Amino acid sequence: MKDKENIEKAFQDKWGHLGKKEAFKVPENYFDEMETKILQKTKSSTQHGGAQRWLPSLNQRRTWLSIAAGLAIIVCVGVAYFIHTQNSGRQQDEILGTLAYIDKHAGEFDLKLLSLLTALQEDEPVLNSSEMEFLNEMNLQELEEIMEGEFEEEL
Amino acid sequence: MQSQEDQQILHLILEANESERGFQMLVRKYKQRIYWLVRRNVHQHDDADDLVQEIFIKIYQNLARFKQQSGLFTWIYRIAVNECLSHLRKKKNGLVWDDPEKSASLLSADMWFEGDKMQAYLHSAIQTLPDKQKLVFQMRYFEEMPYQQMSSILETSEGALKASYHHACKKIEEIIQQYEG
Repeated sequence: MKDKENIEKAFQDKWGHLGKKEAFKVPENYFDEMETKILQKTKSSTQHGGAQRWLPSLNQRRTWLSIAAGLAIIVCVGVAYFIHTQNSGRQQDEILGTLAYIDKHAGEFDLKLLSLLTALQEDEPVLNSSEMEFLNEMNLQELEEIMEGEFEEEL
Repeated sequence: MQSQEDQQILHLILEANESERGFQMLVRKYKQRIYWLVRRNVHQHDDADDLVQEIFIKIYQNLARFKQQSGLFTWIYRIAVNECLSHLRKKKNGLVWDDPEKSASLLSADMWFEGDKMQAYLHSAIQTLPDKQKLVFQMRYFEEMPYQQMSSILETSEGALKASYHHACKKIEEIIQQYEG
């Protein structure tokens, strides 16, 4: 450390004088003109939208951006909530309508046919011989005709 | 952290109606210091003039981002140093400074150079240093800047800066001793 300090001091003692006098020169009145040139350039860069405005306007912009972002979030949440409630209301109406229909026409269902159809849909191998006989006698087209007929009557 | 004058400059810059006057004060206060930093690095007056204008425009454009975590001078000087380094990197291919004798005679012939022969050798020897070491040497040798301030500008430890400066002194001394007398 001491050695480094000595090097610095020795260098300064021997060559320090070379740096005392400025070796470069500038045109006359250069620094006055330079100030004017810089101020003109910064003005023109502001006019062309290149420069940023000062702190107060930047802070104002930040405030407005925060308010706009907050409002956007509130609107998004509101729209999402509205869509959600609309959909769940519609689904509720459909379920209630189906239940009301079943309740009203419960006595008219062909329970035997329904249980057979349910068993078929669930692939349950629970058909006895008489049920197999019943199904064999009917084909799919007949079944559809029966169901369509009942449906049209209801309408 | 800020000098009283820098505080006044910043205060004016923050006032919407006074911002231009604040920036004018800033340019007036620092123009010469920035110019000489740049000039000693690029040598040519025209190049220095262009670069100084670019530096002040950059300062103007970034004033809104100045968080006052460092002094105004440190912040301005850091921008100037970075611009200098970037300019030197771009110019590297255009100029050859490996031969101090040749570059010293070119410098002596420049109409904007008024130093003596030894000063020409000194400036040519400085140009042989790596870019960052060159800046360290100039800040310490010409401006007699304290290591602490250099450390905050260059974001380098004081120890590393001292080592860099001593290496620079040795190299420059070796070169200029050849031409002494």
